[in-house]
Amino acid sequence: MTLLPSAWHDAFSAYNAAVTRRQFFRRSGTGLGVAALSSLLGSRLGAAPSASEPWRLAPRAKRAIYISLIGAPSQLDLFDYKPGLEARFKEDLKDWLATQGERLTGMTARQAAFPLAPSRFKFAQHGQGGAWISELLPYTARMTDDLCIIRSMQTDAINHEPANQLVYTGSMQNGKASLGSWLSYGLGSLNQDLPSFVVLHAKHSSPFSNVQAISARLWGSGFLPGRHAGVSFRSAGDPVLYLNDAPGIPRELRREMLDGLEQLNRRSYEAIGDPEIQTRTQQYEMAFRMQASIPELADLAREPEATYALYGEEARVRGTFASSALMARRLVERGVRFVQIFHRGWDQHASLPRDLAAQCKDVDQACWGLVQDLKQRGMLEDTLVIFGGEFGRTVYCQGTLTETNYGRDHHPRCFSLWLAGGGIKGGTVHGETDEMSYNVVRDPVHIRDLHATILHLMGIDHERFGFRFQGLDQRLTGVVPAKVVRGILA
Amino acid sequence: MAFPLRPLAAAAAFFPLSVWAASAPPVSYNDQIQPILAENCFLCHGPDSSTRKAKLRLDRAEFATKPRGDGDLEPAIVPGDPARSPLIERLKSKDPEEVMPPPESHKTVRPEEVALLERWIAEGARYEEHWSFLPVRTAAAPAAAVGGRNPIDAFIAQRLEREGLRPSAEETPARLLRRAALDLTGLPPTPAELAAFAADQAPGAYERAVDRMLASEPSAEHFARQWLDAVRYADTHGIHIDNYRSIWPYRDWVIRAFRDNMPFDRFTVEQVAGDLLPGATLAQQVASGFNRCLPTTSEGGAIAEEYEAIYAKDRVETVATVWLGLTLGCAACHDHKFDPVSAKDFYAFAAFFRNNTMPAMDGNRYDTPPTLFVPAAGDEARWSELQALLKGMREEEKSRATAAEADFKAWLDQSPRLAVPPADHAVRRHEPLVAAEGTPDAVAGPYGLAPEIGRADRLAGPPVPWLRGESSSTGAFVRVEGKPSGPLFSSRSAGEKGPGWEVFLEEGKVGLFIADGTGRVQVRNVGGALAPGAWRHVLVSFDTTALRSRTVEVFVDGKMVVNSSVSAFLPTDIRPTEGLRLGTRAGVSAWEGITGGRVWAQDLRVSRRGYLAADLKEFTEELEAFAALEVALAERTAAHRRSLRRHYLAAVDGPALAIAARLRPVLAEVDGLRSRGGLTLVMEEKKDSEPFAHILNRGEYSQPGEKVGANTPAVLPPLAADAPRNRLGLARWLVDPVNPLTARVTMNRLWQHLFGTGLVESAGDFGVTGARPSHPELLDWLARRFIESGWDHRAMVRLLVTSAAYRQSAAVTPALLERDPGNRLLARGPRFRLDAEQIRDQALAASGLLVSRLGGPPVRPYQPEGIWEEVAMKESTTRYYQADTGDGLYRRSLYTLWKRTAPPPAMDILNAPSREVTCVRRDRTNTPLQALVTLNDPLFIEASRQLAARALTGTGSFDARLDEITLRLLARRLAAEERGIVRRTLEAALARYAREPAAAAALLAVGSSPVPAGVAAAELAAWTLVASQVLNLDESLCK
Repeated sequence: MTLLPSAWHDAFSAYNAAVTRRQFFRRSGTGLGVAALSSLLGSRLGAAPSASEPWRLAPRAKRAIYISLIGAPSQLDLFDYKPGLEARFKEDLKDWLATQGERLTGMTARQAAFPLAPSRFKFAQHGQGGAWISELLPYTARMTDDLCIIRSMQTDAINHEPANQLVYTGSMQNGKASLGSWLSYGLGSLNQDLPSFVVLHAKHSSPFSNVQAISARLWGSGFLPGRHAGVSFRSAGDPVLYLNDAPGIPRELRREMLDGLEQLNRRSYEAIGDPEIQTRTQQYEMAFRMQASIPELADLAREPEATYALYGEEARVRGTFASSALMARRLVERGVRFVQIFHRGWDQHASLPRDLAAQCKDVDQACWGLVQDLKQRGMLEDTLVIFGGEFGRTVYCQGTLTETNYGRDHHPRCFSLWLAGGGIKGGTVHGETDEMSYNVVRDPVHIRDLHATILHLMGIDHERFGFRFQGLDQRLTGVVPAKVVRGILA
Repeated sequence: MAFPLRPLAAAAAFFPLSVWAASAPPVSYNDQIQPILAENCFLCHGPDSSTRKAKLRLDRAEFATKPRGDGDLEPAIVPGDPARSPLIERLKSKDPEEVMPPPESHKTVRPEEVALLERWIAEGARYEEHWSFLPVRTAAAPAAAVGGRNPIDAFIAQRLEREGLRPSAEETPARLLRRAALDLTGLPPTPAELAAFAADQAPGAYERAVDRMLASEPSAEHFARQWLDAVRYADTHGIHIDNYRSIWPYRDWVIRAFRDNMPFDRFTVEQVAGDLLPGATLAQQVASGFNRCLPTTSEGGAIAEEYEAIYAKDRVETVATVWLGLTLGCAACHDHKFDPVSAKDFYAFAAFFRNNTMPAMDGNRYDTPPTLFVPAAGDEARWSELQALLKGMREEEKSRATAAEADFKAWLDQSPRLAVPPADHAVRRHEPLVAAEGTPDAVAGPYGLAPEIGRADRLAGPPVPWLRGESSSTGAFVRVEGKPSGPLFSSRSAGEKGPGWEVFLEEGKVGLFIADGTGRVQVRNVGGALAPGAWRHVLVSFDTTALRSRTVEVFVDGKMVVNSSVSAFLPTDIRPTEGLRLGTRAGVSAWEGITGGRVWAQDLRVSRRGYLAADLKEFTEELEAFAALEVALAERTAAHRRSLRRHYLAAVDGPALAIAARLRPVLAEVDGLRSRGGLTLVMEEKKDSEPFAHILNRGEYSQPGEKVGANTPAVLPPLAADAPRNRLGLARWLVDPVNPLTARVTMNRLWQHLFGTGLVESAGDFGVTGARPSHPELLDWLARRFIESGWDHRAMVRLLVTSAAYRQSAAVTPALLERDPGNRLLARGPRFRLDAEQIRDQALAASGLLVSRLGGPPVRPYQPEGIWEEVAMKESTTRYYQADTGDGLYRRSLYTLWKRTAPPPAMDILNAPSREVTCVRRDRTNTPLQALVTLNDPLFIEASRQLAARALTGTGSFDARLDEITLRLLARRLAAEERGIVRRTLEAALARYAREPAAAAALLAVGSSPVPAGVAAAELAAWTLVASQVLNLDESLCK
């Protein structure tokens, strides 16, 4: 039974895809539904803001790379210089802490003393803005004028699991949508052969590093349609799960097989009229194209030697942070909207001097290399780069404090991170903490403010950008008012 | 082609404005007004008192039409007089200071909506209770429809007629059978079932097939699998270290409940409160594991009170979503924004779940208490017998111990020596190592002369492997002098990569070596010293059955001195090729054995059990007895006598030894049963307190407010006066026939399962902002019928799948598609992509790979490398994934081990939920990553090969072979044109594989099931590709 003249197929299919999507996006007032509608209809969606999407702003960045340091690096040893503390080495902060009213984790709450642990690392001022940066990050120091360092980040969580969920999904509760999936949902992809949100897992090199767990919920789509979830590019085996054809299926044969599949599906479609059939065929074709485009993407053979001068020699080794940073550049270059690099091992409860140094060594040069590389390619101006963890660390020592060794517990009230690139005012330092790096004393930036700012830079008004789920307009920035951090915008 | 860029509010999608204007029946509050108000007004003028503006509440008549505040503010709505109603005035205002909704809300009420509100007010502004809170109506079905098969069709036809649509013709019998089989069993029909169905021309053939399928075990597995989404079942704790947890007996309980068609009210009560039922059976307690399916943590810094609040909220959200279709969790921080549910209601509900003995920190244990042991199916009776038998024999032991006192004294008087205690039931190898008198270099040991080791190669037994899922320990009494270095117990090859393991000494310290032979596992740790000059007991325990983070530990006198370090959960088995040696190592000459000191050993035991420190008393007490013997009779203390008595009974006393000998086979049998059964997490109420909770300000655990007792939400019918105020009371209230929600919500989910979308699209939200039912009378009729059937779930499934609506062809015209893209009106049959598990199970079943067995511990099918390692912590017992061999690869997908932080990837890609929160409605996407799964996942390649092998077993023609494949996957034979297409693929593949035998061999090597002998490789490979092609057809992937 043929219900449709074949010339109708495409228009029909497009229409139906739109209608199906409309069910996903059914919405009235805030105009959510239209968000991705245009991308559905086949436009490649550079940026053209559409008047029909009330949340759209003029974007400052088209794409973003988020370098996620899982475990929470110490602000006191990297960016938040406190020269006054050296003289107070080992001072017991027990009584002072009691006045602060902050929760202590189960790991240090029962310590008899809370000896003050100054950073044992040297700091120096860099760049025209004179930002203080620790000796652990010599390459980062070189690009100070590209960076905006926020020293006044704040979070609500005191443990890794909820804190990571808050940074990467906007909520400590399960079931929410991740930052990348929101961007994918709102902005769509710039390259139909690649996912719009890619996750890279970079290995840490030190065997001593204290490693925290992560989970798929940090890049999941939550209540958003599943295709907006981050796709993990893997450092072992197939770069994308199941990407490579089974052994013994040569490319030409796969093509024959898919041609037959397409013809058979087309007959089904003619008989049944379900446009999902046509969509499926298109997805098989996209899978076929991905089988070519992703290995090309993952193949670093044609990178010039100069690349390794930027990112470091480790960039030649698959799975290292350096190679992930390079991969991130290759991904955004090809139109991936959002790349997230997870690097674990930043949880220095003990042996901080040894382990933090090793962690920094993993990332320092490659981060610099990435920013320089983007700049050289003219992409830094519309690519946002973010570098940070999930909370800060305590000024007091966890465990035994010696002249050369200490550890630091979790601290939610302040931490540091940096941003660079599209729309960011380089060479600036935002916010300030007290002499203990314990409380923010100027320009606090909550996680939700960071989210509002990232969305703003990407051309999204966080207050008007939502998704109806369980009767509520779910938003990345949640219900507590969030503000765009104007002071860091170029 | 135009379509509205600004869709109407939820309800409007089903009640087009044009309909309202045309015939002008009275305006319905629930259908027409409430959606407008909820969308635009309730955020500030709704149930939430904390954000209410201007003291105005519009969601209930008693507030909206009466003076506000202290009576000094005029009512917003004057019934009968829209012109005098400030509501309308504000909506129409042009003044940005006055207009509602305010501009900053980015909401606007359209003129036609304002007109509707005016009409409604003119007609008297009649409010209605929210539809889903109203009692379930008992209305009769409309008059039977032409072509209808049961009352469902009358409801469907009534609506279709109103819409000017007609139902479709019935699906062809074979395709209908396939649809029903996939919906009822999750598996495709077999060719034999198709043939039998085709042959059964008598009336009622379809109904008989439905009954047969519904009564099958696969059907129970299929319905259970869906329930597991709702209860967020998984096999790991879910947060942080994410270790394995043992709760699969609960999963099996769910399967058996569906197999036995347990009435849904009982199904509910036993899960929510099985532990509280008077005289709760083992099964009912297992069912209470529903309450233990939530994700839990044991993160180092986690704060117990915080997690107790999180757990209670999770449980409230799960119960509320699954049974009530309410988003109660929204009221955790503030009164609900839209539904009449206050924060107090939420915490009163949470109180039901805050009075149990589960610890806030799961301890990263697989057996976080409270737990129960559940024997395997068929073992229950024997398990009880054995328990009774054991109890009896333990009593015998005890009475002999008392009676033996005189004999014990007599033995003591003889100046005795210790005897070697007989090996217990778990010992695989026992070497007493008692040297003959006059043996050179021997010294006195606990049981006589003990030989020196490390002077000559001493093979003590065959290799001792450490295998995943098993336990093994090796121990002996050891005495050293000096600071010896060298192997103590060694079952390894000489090289640094092993394979094997060894307990060694390094300058008197105890060390542990483990290597798997590949370099992936390479442990060499050195721990505490073995003090010289006295007998010690040294034992190495390997234990993966306890699923602790630390797998290998070496104990000296019951104290752990060295272990395999935190990263010990071994990714691979340790399979030594060298036998167990004492004091020497394979491949190393004897004089290199022990250096720097001397070592003696006695009583070597290799056991198939693992040890914790507390278990090692049996050995240390032997050493105490040995020491006690050295003490003169007169100087012995009570402790000395105690250890000697223990030894006497364990090794000397004839009657006690006889009892022990009879006990051994019983214990061995208990061990056997234990390994077949499983522990499961259960719920247990605190006995000494009543359920209560504090209202947490803004949901913060650290800001407790008013204390509230357990109660159900005020807007719903109350708990019975005599109901216990605990989970049992709650459970019975959920299935009380006056509860307006449970039956509706459950029937709606069943409808969704069969038709793709529920009658209420938002299956988890029946609240004010949820969707409205497309067929409200039908939903009520089904709910009523469900209750009146005695909550007979299977009867309701049968009713739905035997309706004409279900049996329709799914073919659709463009006009109908445009009119009803989501098929909510049911003018055609349901057709959509199968769930992840169905797709995999279909491939297993069609290919013959499927291993059908109900229940049991979770299995590990193929999974790409690194999925777990990428996210797991070093300590996690689910850090390394090792696929099973044999049956475990081919079980139905609901048995796959579900790690919450890294769910099985193919399932994840095909939209299975992560099982971190309740899920009553899966996403159903259509993506290229999904195509890659079914094209390339080794399981699907292997299934294609097996399917091809099936096709090639006959000497059949091309057509017969192809039929073998398509009948199993599509339940039909291909048309001539389609055959031509497949033939072209086959011929291309045949040519290619004939030219490239290596490619054929590579393809056939995928998967661990054997390749049939006597089939030409090129032919089998080519047909494998064809089978994969058919398996990837949209028609195969959809029902």
